[in-house]
Amino acid sequence: MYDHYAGALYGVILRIVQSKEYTEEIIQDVFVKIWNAVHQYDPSKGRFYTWMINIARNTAIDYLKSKGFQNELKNQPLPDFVYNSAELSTTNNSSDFIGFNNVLKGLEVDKQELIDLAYYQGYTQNEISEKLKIPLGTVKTKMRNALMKLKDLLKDYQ
Amino acid sequence: MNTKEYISSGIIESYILGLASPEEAGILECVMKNNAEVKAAFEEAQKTLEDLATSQAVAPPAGLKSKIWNKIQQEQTTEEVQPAVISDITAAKPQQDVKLQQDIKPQSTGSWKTYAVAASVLFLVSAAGNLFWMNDQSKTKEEIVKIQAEKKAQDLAMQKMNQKMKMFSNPDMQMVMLKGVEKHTDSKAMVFWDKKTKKVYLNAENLPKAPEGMQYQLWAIADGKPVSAGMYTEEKDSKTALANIPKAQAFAITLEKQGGSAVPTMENMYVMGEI
Repeated sequence: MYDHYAGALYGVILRIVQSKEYTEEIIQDVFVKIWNAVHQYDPSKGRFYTWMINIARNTAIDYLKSKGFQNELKNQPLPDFVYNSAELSTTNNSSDFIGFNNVLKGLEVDKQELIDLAYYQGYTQNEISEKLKIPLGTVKTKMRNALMKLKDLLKDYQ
Repeated sequence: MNTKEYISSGIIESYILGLASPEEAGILECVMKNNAEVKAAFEEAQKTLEDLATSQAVAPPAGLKSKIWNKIQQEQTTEEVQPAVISDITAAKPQQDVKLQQDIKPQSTGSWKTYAVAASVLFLVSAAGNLFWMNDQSKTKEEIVKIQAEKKAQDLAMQKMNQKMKMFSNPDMQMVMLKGVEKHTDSKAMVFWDKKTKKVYLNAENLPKAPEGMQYQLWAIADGKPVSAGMYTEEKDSKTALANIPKAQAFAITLEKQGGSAVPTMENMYVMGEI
């Protein structure tokens, strides 16, 4: 299980916390959580891989919020944060992010932003709606469109 | 709202991202059970985010795997040893006993536990690894249920083994082997007699299951006279003291009516052992 999924979960967490040091700490908690909660996994509520990804995402996002990083991130203009963040460059390994960037760069900027806010920063749809000044219903449909587009991109990418 | 509108409303994506309200989630879970189209869209959206995660995978540092294993092992050990200790408060000074034992046989207890935990972790990890390579969804679900049951069973077995281990490692514990008599030559049992507290524990899992309405009774033979040393139940096995026996030269087990008898029914004697 570790061998097959650690890389993907590591990537998700690294994307969220932007620091290898924290990522290493968090992924340990994530695997312990997965181990302890495996009996709570309910297949009717989603696939196992998705379930693990969500545990990784939630743990990492909780971590960010608890460390008070959230404000700092909110104050940064997004495209800068995603591609040129100072923290990202301090990981000194920007090649780690190339695959991800290539895929998401195929999306329009507003779709990238949407995915980044919801998926990597844990914004609720209400918060996104406020931040981007678009109606809640539109946030939801746009999110769907973004993922549909992403699906096509990933097809080509693989 | 028809199916297409429902799907394109983005509710599925909200749900997967954990952003749907409990009501929305409840509705979607219900709709998915009855609507193949919605279910398919749900699978597809999950797949997209999984592919995204796969495509941006980053190789974790080499030492991470063993760090995680250690962490899980630690959790397992503390989790499983804890109840055993609590259920065995009666045992005299367990701390010191364990220490004594370790002095005699360095590391025996510790490494035994570590191996057992490591083995169960290894097993689960490998079982999990196998199952995630299977593509068949329904089979996967079955396997996960099986793994969950297996983990439960293992946890229980582990707890039992820990209890027995404590018995064995207690230097005050005198072990008396009871061997089958007459028609029950295959039967055997083990009495653990704590020389300090005088408490008597019984391991009798090898005896045949007692018939309905009957129960095994342990007897201590002191100066030629049998004294009841308590009634045996499976739950008490190697765990709960059956009686306090200050003096005995032998132990024996007979099958008696539920609740026990005042004197042993000699023709129903299964095992016996001298000290």
